[in-house]
Amino acid sequence: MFDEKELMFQVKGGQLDKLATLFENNKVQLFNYFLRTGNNRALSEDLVQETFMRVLAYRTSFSGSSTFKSWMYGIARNTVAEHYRKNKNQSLNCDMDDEEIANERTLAEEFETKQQNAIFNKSLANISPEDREIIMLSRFQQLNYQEISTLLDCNLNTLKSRMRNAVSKLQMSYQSLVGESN
Amino acid sequence: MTNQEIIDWKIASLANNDKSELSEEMQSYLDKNAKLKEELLFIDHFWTNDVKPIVMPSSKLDANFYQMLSRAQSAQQHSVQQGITQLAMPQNGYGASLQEQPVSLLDKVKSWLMPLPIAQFATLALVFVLGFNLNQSRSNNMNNSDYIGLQHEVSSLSTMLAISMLQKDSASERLSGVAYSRQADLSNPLLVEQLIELLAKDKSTSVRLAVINSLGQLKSFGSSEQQLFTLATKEENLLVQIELCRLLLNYGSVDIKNRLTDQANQQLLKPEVQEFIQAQLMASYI
Repeated sequence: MFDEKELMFQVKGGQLDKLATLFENNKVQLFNYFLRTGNNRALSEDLVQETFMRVLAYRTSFSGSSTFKSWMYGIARNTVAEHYRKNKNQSLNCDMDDEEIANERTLAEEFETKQQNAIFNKSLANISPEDREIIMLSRFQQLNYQEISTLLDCNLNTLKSRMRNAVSKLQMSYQSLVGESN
Repeated sequence: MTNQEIIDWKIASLANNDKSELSEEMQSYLDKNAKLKEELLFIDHFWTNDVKPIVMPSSKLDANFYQMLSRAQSAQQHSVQQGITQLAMPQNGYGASLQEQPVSLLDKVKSWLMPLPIAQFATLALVFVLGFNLNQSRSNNMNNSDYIGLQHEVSSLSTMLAISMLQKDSASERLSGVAYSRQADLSNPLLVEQLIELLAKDKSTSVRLAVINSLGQLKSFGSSEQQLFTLATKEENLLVQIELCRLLLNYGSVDIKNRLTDQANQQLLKPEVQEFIQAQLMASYI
C-alpha cells in the first residue's frame, strides 16, 4: 500500500510522475463520487481530470496537515461547485432525478434485493445535499470521521451529531418509501 | 452510555471495516432499546448492501490525464533547462548586479574614508558595513536562486494552464486560453505547437485570429515558420489568410517573405491576398 501523503510530498518536490500513482489509486473512487453527486458520466470524467489538474497546480499548497484523500476531496468539492457556479443554467443532480423516475417505475414491480437498493438510492436522493454528502463520504468514499471533519471544516463532535441526523433522516425517508411501496 | 455513542461506534466500525463485537455494556443497553436496535439494523443494512455498484470510468479519462501529466513534465523540464542557462550566464542579468554590489559599496566606503582624519572610527565602521554587506549579499544570492526557482515554477504552471485552456471544448474558453498564453512563456515549444495546431484546426475564426495575434509576440518563428507558410498558402478563410500573410511579412525571415511574394506574383493566391501582399510590399518600399 502506498503512503499517499508521502507521494504527494514527492509531487510537491517536483517528481510529477508520482501523480500517476495517486491518480491510479483514486480515479475510480473519485469518478464514482462525482457520479453519485448526480453528474453524468462525461461530466464526471471531466471533473476527475479537472481535480487532478488542480492537484498538480496547487501542489505547493499541500501541507500534509490532513490526509491526501481529504485534501483531494476538498479540491473535488470546490471543482464541482465552481462548475455549477459557471454553468448556472445546468441543473445539479440531473442523474439523480432520472434515477428517481426510473426507480418509481420499478418500485411497483417487486420488492426484493434490487428493489431494496432502489429504495436506498431513492431515499438517499430524497435527503438534503448536505446530509447526503456526509453519508456518501463515509459510506462510499470510505473517508473516516477525522478526514471528513477536516474536509468539511467542522469539529469531530459536530460531525458525529450531523452524521447521526443524516442517517436518521435517511432511515425516515427509507421507511416512508417502504410504506408507500407496500 | 447514549444512543449517539452506540451509533458512532457502529458507523465507525463499518467505515473502518472493524469487526469488533459490541461490549457487554453496549449490548445490555441495546437490549433495552428496540428503536435503537432498529436504527442499527438499518445502518448495518445500508452500509453492507451493494447499494450503488462501482462504475468504471472510460479509457478516455486515462488518456487525458496522462496527456496532461506529460505536458506538465515537459513544461517543467523546459523551465529547468531555461533556469540552468540563466544561472550559467549571470553577467547579463539580475545576478550580475547583485554580484557587483559588494565591490561597488566597498569602493564607496573606501572613498569616504580616505580623505578623513577619523580613520580608526571609520575602520570600525567599515568592518561593520563590510560584514553586514557580505552577509546580506550571500542571502541575496540565495534569495536570487529562490526567486529564479519561483519564477520557473510560475512559468511552468502558467504554460500548463494555458495549454489546458487551449484544449477546452468551448470557443470562449479557448479564446481566454489564447489571451492567457500571452502572459505565459511563449518560448515554450509545446505552447507554440499547441497554438499552431489551434490555428490549423480550430473552427472559430476569432480563436484563429487571436492565435495569429499571439504568435506575433514571438517575433521569430524558428522551425515553425515553414508550417506557418504552408498554412498561409493553403488557408481558405480569406481573413485568416490575410492575417497570416501579414504575420509572415512582418516577422518572417527574408526567405519566407520572398517565397510569399513569389506566390503572389505567380498568382497562386486569392486575388485579395495578392493585392494585400503587393500593398504591403509597396508600403515597405516607401
